[in-house]
Amino acid sequence: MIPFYPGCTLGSSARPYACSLYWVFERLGLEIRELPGWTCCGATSAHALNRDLAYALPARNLNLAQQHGDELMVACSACYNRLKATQRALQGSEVRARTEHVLEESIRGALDVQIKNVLEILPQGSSLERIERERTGALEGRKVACYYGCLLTRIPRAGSFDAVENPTSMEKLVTAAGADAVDWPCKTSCCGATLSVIDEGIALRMCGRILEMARRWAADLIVTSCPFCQYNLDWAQWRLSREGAGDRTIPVIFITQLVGLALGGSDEELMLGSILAGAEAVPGSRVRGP
Amino acid sequence: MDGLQARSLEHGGGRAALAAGGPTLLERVEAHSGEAIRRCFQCDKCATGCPLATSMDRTPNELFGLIQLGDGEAVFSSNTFWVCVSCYTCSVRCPNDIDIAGVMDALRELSLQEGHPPAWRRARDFHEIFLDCVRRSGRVSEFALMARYHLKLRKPFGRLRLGWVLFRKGRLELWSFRGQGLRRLFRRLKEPA
Repeated sequence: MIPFYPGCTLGSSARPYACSLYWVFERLGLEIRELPGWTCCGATSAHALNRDLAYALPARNLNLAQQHGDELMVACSACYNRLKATQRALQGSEVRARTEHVLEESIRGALDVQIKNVLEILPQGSSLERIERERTGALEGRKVACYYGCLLTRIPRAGSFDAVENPTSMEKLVTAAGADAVDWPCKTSCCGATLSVIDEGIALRMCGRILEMARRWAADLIVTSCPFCQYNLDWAQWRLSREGAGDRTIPVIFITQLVGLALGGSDEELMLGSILAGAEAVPGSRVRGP
Repeated sequence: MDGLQARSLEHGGGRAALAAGGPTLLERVEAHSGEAIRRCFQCDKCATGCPLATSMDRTPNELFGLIQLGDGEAVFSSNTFWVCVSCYTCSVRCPNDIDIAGVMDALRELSLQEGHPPAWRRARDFHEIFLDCVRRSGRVSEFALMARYHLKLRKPFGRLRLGWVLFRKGRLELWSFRGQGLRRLFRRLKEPA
């Protein structure tokens, strides 16, 4: 039983991620349980404005996690980044003292928790073999572009489990699921994060470049494990198609939705119809027409 | 004081700080960020990889040059650190191991502490509202965040259609998590250790 830190988006805009993640983990017999009492990691906003807060919020959750096990599974790339970066920073005595002052408790336990991303746990040997053995033919011949975004692999000083410029954990899952992973150049490009709220013009330009590359590499689907990446690329295509300016729409789905599809999950079980643009082009989706 | 710093202080606003005996801009930013900005030798790699360089009035390395020269006015009036979204492309590529995005965090915090008006108000407003959501309920309700941000912009109906589509698709939680909030933790931030 691994404690699971979902993060704020998984109850709202990234609910399809949560929904498909729980379905896939249950299907594969991997037991996870939501960390009781978890709170926000502070995301970009905390470290943008207040360094002490940026360490205190993740440290609070690491302390909680330590009471429930040695490991903590994290779904969102931003949460994963903040938790890993904080754990690294807490090794410094000054940050540690300041964080303990803010939290009014010792953070010794926070240093021992093994923080693992969903993409670190899911492509492990036995699960990969099961996906390969039990897959349906739903994704046969589909070209899939794996999109990692920024925060999963770029964690200054702390480092990630996957390669910083050319990660490959999602490709393993895509191949096991029976689809073809394309080798494209925008795997770790930035989608603009909060700019889709603060300045749509800049965000549309950034997403547009990534989508254009996926089109040139003839991808049928884009998969991601980051709630912000999924939302931004999905939103950008929805925005552009409403203006009649969009080119070919490529559905952007979560990696757990793709694995779920390969394992015979239905539209409802995986919330396939919930994507904003191109839901009708997802194999297994019951949405008809834009 | 090493040679590089001594040389940089001969130029620009650093001289005034030196004469007054206070810490220079370079020292202040280095102390706050914990990063050795004096190591920057203008290789331009951060600017080359930055996905937002075209929206910034100065590239990260230009900003670092200004910090080394002690030109606080030019640094704090720049929009660079407000436009930065912390994608960390620069930080992981810097040949001098400077966490450049981390320096941007320090510049935002320092500029607010020192009372400089932010060059991009919307970015600051968004972050402040986000953190107030965390303070009040411990987690962030996207609905509350978007509603409050658009009220602040005085465009309460700005993304109504998007909100409706998200709601219809089951991707907008209206009844947000109502936790205890983290008011005590936020209060402790203001108390000296």
